[in-house]
Amino acid sequence: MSSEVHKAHGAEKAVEGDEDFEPKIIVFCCNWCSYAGADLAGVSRLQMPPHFRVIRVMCSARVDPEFVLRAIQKGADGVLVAGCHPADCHYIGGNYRTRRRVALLKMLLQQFGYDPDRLRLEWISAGEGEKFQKTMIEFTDTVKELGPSPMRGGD
Amino acid sequence: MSQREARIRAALRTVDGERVRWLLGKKGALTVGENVFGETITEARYDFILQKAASIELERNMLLLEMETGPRTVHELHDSTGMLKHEIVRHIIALKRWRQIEQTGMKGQSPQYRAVPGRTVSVTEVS
Repeated sequence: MSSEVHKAHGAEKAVEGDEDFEPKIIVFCCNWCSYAGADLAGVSRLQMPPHFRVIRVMCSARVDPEFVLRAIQKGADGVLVAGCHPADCHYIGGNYRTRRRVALLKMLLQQFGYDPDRLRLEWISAGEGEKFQKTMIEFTDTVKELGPSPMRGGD
Repeated sequence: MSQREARIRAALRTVDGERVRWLLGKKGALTVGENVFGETITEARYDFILQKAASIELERNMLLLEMETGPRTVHELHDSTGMLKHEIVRHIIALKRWRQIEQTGMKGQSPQYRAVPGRTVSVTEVS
């Protein structure tokens, strides 16, 4: 009887543990669009999960594939790269380069047994505070569903 | 070093390698412009080439990382990386051709290979 109670308690704890899982998400925002969008979401007091850290870069193309892999290596559960909409890049074609790199990175992640959904690319303009909020909520939910990163002992 | 850690390191070398960086940077020139024969590569073809190149580089870098820690036979590389033996042999032939690895001796009837110290990790051979 007591073992059953212990088992039930253990199962409950596991479920609790899953619910308590607080993902670590790194968000790379380009200075001209996405960072301003994130700022707008902030000043508009839009509610967002508190599990992400924003890193401002001058252009989404500044996000070297190495940055993403290093973040994963250090235990990030998800990485979001946010840039200007296609054809809106302040540096003309930076976001096209980013798109290529992210596609390659997704393929590499999949090859070494890491869910490619942990990496996401999104176009967010300076006026899209709500889109930033929506993206962050969706991405946090996705990462929560995926669970902790394999580098942190997850599957 | 865990298997996962090794794979991330190999991926880091792959994205930093000359072959993948060159291909990534040349998308416009390859898919919009024409080559010296007047041919244009389609986007789908370009994606296929890039993915194939990155996949090969990743596997070779995984093998190189393993061979940097000491001489390894094909069987040992198979055990540690989980790659198919015939794939490993194919990569070893290419890596030897580019002098990234060298044969150091024999273990039983199997030759042992190790990474050549001081060589760049980028593998530029186009398969």
